[in-house]
Amino acid sequence: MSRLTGLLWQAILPAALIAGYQFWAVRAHNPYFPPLGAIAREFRATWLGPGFTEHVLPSLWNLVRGYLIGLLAGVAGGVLLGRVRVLRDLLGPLVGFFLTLPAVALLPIFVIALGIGATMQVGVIVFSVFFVVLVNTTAGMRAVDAALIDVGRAYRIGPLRRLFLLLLPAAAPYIVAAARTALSIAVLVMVVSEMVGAPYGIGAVTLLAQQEFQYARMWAGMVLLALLGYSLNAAFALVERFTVGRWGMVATTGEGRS
Amino acid sequence: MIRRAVLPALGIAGAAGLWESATRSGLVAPTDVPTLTSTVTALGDLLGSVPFWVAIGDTVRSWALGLVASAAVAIPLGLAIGASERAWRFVRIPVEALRPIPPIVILPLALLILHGGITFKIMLIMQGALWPLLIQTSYGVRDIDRVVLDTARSYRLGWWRRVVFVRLPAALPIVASALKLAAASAFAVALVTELIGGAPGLGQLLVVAAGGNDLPRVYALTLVAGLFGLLVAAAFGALQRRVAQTR
Repeated sequence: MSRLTGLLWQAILPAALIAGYQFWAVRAHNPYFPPLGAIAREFRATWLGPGFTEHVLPSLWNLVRGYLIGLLAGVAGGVLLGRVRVLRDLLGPLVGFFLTLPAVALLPIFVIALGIGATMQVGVIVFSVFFVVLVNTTAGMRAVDAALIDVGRAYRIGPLRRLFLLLLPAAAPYIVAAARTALSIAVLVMVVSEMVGAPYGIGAVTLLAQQEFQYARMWAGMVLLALLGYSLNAAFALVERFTVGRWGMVATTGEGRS
Repeated sequence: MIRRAVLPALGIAGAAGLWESATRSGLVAPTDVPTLTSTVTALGDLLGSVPFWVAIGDTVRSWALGLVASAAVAIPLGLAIGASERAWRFVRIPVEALRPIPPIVILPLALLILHGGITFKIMLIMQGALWPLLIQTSYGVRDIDRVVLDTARSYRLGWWRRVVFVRLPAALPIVASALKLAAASAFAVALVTELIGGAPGLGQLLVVAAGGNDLPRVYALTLVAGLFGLLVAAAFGALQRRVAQTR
């Protein structure tokens, strides 16, 4: 199969699905399933006008803040747990508990403690990202070859340089895999946190549109969320290829959660 | 040896002590976080109440049905897709594209059409669990030693037998690890359908308790959710180890 026919072959199913939907929706006049044109119009009106600064940007800003804070804190904690055995033994059961506890289950607790708003949303995202990254960084630190550490010691490399030049690069495949898993979890948690009564944000507008029978707007929200999930994952793959991929570190599959 | 048993216990005891003293001393406002003792009392009340067990039953049933339905569709389909080059190209790219889309995307539409019943929950759980399972299974099937496959062919094993007796066993370790992840995310999605969609279950109890500002109950229910998560992870972890051993 040549490259071109291969590509065409791959495009058949998605194209057929979209065309089939449009063909059916135009004729069916089912209010739940508006035609593509109506969805596109509503998409522009809802997300690309003033809605962009009112809803899309705040959602993304919460996501970025929560993700980065959770990532950095998770790596820092993972380095600590990976290097200090007493801490690892001491906190093991607690970390295990919080890793398997779905972050969405903590929404009521966060709402009670912080109220509905950006602080609560960022808090839940941080939490959801933190434990995945923590556990995988810990595993990555423990997987570092003992001989590598001995070599570093023999060359009298200081603790800071050892951390940044030896330990973190060696643990990078684990950290990157966790960062990828954490990103898709963070998107889910962002949307859910907006659906529990937030006055703004992509998730809030989408659920509200459903409750107000604005089905084209609901579809516009669903399309935006799907695009967001897809493009964030694609962006991550790109970053991965040009950083750890180029440095010769291959990502492993990490311990997941949701 | 002693260390491995004592330190974890010490960690749990320390966290419990910290929780109790911080809330008792007023360091953390009692309107924000309840004391540990009141949470334990609330947990005891829950364990003796019928609605709690009904809710647990609702959550576990939808979780199990959603997971089984996902596996029943994804594993045979994954086998078929992985075993055929054409099917692989035809389906893989669209499915790969769908995978990073959060299952929550279809919640508004599914809620509209299915009105928050168990079908709604299962649909959403499947959206979360089916695609990763499908992809992982098809990768597992492709990740097979060519020599093994050629051997099976030279013994004149038909297509069906090759898939069931050669490809499936080779893919099992990957399928088992994908199942573990799917089980965890199915539980999270079940909770979401109850928290947002108002479907009956543990998440709905949580919403009601939070609405009534019954803090000890909220914390007790969250504790239960965490323990169930641990149970699921342990059970599927054990399954994964068993599969890895028999290989």
